[in-house]
Amino acid sequence: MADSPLSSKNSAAAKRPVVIGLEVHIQLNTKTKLFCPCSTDYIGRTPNTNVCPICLAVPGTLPLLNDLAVALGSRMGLGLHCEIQNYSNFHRKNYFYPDLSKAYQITQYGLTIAVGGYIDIEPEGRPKRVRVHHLHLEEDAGKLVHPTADGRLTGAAYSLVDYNRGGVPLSEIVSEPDMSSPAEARDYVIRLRQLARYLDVSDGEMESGSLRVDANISLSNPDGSLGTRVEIKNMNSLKSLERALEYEISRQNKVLDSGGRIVQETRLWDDAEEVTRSMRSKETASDYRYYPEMDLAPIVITDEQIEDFKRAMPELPWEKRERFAREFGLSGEEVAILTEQKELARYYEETIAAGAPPARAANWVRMEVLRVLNETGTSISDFPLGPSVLAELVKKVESKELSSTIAKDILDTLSREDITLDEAVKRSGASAVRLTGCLLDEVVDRICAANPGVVETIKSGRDKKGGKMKFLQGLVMKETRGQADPSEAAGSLSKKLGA
Amino acid sequence: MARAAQIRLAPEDVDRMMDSINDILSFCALVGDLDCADTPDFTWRMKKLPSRRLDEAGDWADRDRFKSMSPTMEGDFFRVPRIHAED
Amino acid sequence: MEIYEMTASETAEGIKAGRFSAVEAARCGLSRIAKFDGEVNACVTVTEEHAIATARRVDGMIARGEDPGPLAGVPYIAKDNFCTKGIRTTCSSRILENWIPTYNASAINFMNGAGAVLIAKSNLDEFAMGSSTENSIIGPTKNPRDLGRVPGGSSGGSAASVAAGYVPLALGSDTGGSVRQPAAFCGIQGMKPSYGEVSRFGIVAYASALDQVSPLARTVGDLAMALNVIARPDPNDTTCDAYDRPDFAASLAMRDLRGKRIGVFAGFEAEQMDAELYGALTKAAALCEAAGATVEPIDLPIAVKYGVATYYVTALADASSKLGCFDGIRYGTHIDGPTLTDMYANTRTASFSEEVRRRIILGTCLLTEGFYQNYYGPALKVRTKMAMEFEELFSRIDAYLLPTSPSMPYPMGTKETDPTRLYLGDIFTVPISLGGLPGINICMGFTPDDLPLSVQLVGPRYGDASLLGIAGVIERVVGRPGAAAPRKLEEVR
Repeated sequence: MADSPLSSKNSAAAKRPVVIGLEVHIQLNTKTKLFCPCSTDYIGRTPNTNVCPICLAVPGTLPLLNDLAVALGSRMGLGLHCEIQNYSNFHRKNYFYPDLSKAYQITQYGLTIAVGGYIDIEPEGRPKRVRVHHLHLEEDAGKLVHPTADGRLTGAAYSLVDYNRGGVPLSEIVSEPDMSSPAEARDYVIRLRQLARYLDVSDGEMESGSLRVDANISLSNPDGSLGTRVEIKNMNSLKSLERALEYEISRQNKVLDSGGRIVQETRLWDDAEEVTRSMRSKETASDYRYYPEMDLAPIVITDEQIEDFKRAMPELPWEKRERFAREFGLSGEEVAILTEQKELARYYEETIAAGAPPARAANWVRMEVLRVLNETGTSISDFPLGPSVLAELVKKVESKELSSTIAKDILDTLSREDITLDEAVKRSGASAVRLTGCLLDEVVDRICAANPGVVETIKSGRDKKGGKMKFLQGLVMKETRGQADPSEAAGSLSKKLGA
Repeated sequence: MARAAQIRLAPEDVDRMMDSINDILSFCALVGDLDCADTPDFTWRMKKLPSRRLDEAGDWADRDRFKSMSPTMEGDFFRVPRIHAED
Repeated sequence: MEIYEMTASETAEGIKAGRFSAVEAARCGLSRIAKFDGEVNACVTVTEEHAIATARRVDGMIARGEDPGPLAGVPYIAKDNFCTKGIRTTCSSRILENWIPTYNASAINFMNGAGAVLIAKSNLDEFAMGSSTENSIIGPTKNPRDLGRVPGGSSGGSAASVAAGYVPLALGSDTGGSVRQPAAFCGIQGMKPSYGEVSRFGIVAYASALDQVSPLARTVGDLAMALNVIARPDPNDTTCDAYDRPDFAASLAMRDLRGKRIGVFAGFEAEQMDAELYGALTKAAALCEAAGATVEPIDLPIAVKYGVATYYVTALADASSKLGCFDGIRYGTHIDGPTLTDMYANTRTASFSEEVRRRIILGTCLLTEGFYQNYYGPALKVRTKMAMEFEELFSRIDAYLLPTSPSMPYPMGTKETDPTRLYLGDIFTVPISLGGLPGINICMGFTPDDLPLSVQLVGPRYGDASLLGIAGVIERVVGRPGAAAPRKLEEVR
């Protein structure tokens, strides 16, 4: 029976430092599989349609390495500050399971495409460098479907095999055991995913399985020596990664507190029950038999090719962050949000290129564009309002041609309807009836007359915090349906009330 | 070992099989006798390495014919028996 | 001269010149099969319909003045581990008893593209594991030179087909001698090209690191002709070298061996092998010297001492891995069971013969932790040492003469029961495979009982073309005995 998590926060637990290493699999953005020309687009496909003699292990067939997978693996390796190897090769990892058509997985082992690197993380504002041991290429397995109510293997009278995913290219990134908390592990995955997306190496979607994380976790002994390592699998979101690690820390602390010993094993995270469970021995193919794959020529990457890969590297997340702060004078938080996705960063830069002032544009993208994207559930790439339109809108606010409130309404309208900015402005009425000067003064007079008590409070100097003044200002803006400029309205009120 | 190879050995065959396997293993242990310190693992050297496959999709015309020959096809899937013995 | 007595090049010439048709050549081969194969049992499947249709196409091209290719209308037979589209491919195993591939092996495509006509698929030791062609679902193949003896193996069916005059040319696969040794036993020529010369695509693998598509014929000239057709780059096999091949037939113009340095194997005492074969080796050395070569005895200590052990570790590990795909799920024989592991075991136990099961279990064992460190790991390094030994050897000489097999073809059913002694029959062929070197079996003549005597001539890796030239000179001075028809077979009928 699983223990309830997070309940043993005693002093002994605090004394045992946590050591975490991660193995992250990312699905490479290729059209075809690692060793055959079948499509990698397996989600939602009819079972066993993305298959061919090679990925079905038809006798006599030989693997044909995808050149793009080599390029993407190298690019990711460079992004992780790894050294790209001039010579690497593949191994066979032999074991029987129905989702593995050849009864071996072709994977790199020993000599891998990229070795030694690091990624800088900054969980909760505390910077840290996590070293990367290596990056290697391997093929994915097929999928098993179990005809049980809950879709689980347990209790299935038979299982069905779909090889559409079999042979899809993966890159496995193995970190050093440099992380010491679930938050660090989470941030490591976030940074890795961001890098993969910046480099167009992978979608990095954990939910759909194009990014998968296995964790190795141990608690150090009081004398500082490393404890027994436990591997955790089956975490399919950042949240479950964090929860699983938290649960495991608490579980291991409890075992140790009660004088027990940690068993070296693989445990599966159960998302519904929020516990890790020991894998049954049959699910752990412990006895993998590795040896060199002689059906494939070695991967040879020349120095010139490595230089080409380097030249083709796009701006990396940390480079962009640094440049945004420098060029646009933005705060750390603003930069972090604007550079989180490179598409959003590009949108922002194009908005500036179209003439919007950087600081105001940053506010608009950060607050309004992201709000609309959130509300409508669209991505920035599908956002109908282009950066040049946003720039126009921002400029109109800057020149006081439009109030912020109206401009926000216009942004909403343009994100819903296929009309031009001019049409939207016209429809908002903002350009036709612009309440200003004596027209605005008339409204101010009317509001003051209708609220004699408030006016009295202000005039007698009792509105120390300016709250009543704000109240009247709000009424004016409401009355003018946003057609007045807020600062002009405030000025008119102050003048009238002598405050 | 036979289990790892997914092969069943009849009780009456075990001894005979074991004997011949042990004979061969003890003969093959010879490979450990040669001093190979500082010798790299063997790989084939080639005159000209073939270029790698470009990432261009291809389709397989004979897929359905192939599937129709499979001994375990059920609908679009291949079917395998219960994966765990004791459930 | 009957069509069946002709070489491949004579057959192609005859067809191109209109002296006889491709259909006649195919029918000639098919009728030889009909006449003798009940006795010899070299063919698993006779592809008569396919053969006649293909031959008609060749004849049609000739009638229209088109060139069907260098092997126009030449009937050939391929070992039944070559995938042939629409034609059953069994590997002589129960597990593929009814398997019909949906594609052709590259070598088959190249042969067809050159105008050759496939008339049958030939017998082998199941999955090419063996050296007598006795271990097959269709039963043993007999040696056409002496029906009481084995034809060698594992390409025994292909060798017997050529010796029996079914075809002038056959394809086999040579992993550790599987073409050279049956060629020796059947008294014909067989050549394992350098590893990387010929695409392995479509060959049901025994050992990826060693398998090589290899032609069998009655003359060295036909071997060169076949190599010109099948040795070429192939986008379907990345272990097949992409370099531009030379004309393998060019060096056949070589008249003598003046200026050539030839080494002769000196690591065995005469009494350690059959006396006739020792005599054949001595004779070959003397002929080379007479033809102008300088000949020197040379030992190969590492290759001879460690070759067989290294070969078995490498090949069995690979075989256990490659045969894992026969899991009863996607193709081949399937024997159900209540659980997955039952199904696996039922299928694999009943569908592989004992020899194949033994090799799979051994190979599985060799790759497990502990064993790997003591077997596969060292074997990878011993191979490097052997390659260095060969490199040194061929820095001094142009070609190396050694026996193909230490023994004469043995009577059927007398299979050596001690597997380690049986494997020693491969002692002269496996080092050549491990080094990836080209090796040719040259028939040197026959004993008074019509049993063939052979030697093996080996060259440096990728030295296939000049090796063929030297072999051609030796063949000419011994008088082309490999082209002789098997006397005893004709007497049977």
